[in-house]
Amino acid sequence: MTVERYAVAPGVAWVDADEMGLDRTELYVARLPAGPPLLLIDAAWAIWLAMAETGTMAEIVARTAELTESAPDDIETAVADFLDGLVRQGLASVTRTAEE
Amino acid sequence: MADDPEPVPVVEPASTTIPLNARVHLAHAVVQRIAEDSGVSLLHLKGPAVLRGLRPPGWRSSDVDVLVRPGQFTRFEAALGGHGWEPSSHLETGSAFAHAANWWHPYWGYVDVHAHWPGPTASPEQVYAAFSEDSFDQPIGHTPCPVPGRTAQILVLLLHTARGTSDADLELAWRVQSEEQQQAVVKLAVRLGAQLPLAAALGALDDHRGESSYALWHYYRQGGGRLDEWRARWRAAETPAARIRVLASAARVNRDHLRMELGHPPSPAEVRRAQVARIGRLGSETRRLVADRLPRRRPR
Repeated sequence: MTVERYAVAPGVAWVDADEMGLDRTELYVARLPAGPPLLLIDAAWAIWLAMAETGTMAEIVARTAELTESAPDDIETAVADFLDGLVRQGLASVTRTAEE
Repeated sequence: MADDPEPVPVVEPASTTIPLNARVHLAHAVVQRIAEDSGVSLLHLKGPAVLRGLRPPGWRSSDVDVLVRPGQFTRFEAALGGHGWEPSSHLETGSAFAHAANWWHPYWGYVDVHAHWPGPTASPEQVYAAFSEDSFDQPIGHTPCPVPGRTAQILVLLLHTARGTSDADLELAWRVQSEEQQQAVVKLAVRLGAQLPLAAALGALDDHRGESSYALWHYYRQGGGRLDEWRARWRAAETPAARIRVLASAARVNRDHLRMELGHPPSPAEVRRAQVARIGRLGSETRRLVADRLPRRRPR
């Protein structure tokens, strides 16, 4: 069985609004060096942070559920779709390793 | 019937909604990537490149400042141009020190590309080497960006203070620093020939009265009219060639500044009008200066 681990893709910069002292659930992302700058709000913000802090789908879903005060089962499909979208846009990378 | 599925979050373009400070962080990362891709070394200065504690919390930057390794300036400008950046001001027109060119990008805003850092009399190569000695990677936008070590960062902030009338950086960058740290900064300033601007920043410029660049740093620290600036630049110019350059730039309209004022490239007629206005301003300041120095007639 393989385990998928998601991560911010190499060559992608990002800033959380909290780092700017802003009380907003949003962050700003850009592929380097061309951009454009992208805005991730609310649920997208939560999934990105969860991905940056953890790695496996289960961990990301669990952390996103905490950040959005949701039930993991309710958000699992949306999180998976969003992560796939990030990978397709080159904003996230996914590595597959055999589970020991 | 099943519930509606949870909507997939969206990623939106943010070029118009992104806060300026966040954009500056991303711009540092963009500039670093362009430098790496073009084989250019540079140091990130000021703004988010500054160590925590050397500037007040919540300090906001409006642009990116980088110091390019001497000899790589032209290559880096070409790389910026190849990535959609546009020149906003050029090296020779940016300031009296001819130290930086300003570039602009519709996504990332402004970057000041420094060929050297104003203040030291040491060569740009010596200054860059000294600033690089204890450099390290500072994450900006979660991207490693090389920045000078602590002592060089403090000197950079103080030399920047010397070029303006604000004391905003003095408290954290100097007054609260340990005596040992202050001595290290002074030692670096002496090594790079930056004692005079350091003294200007710290309010001790009068210790250097009589030196050729005293008037220049006095002008920048205290402020004054354009004539004061040109007179100070004239006194600071130590060679005939340098004085000719000062004279030429005094009479010439700065096309970069004029373009920013107008919002479009100036036409030849607009340049001529600006030239006349500039000479008029210099002339009126000269007349005022002469009038101020004329002996007042005593009332009978």
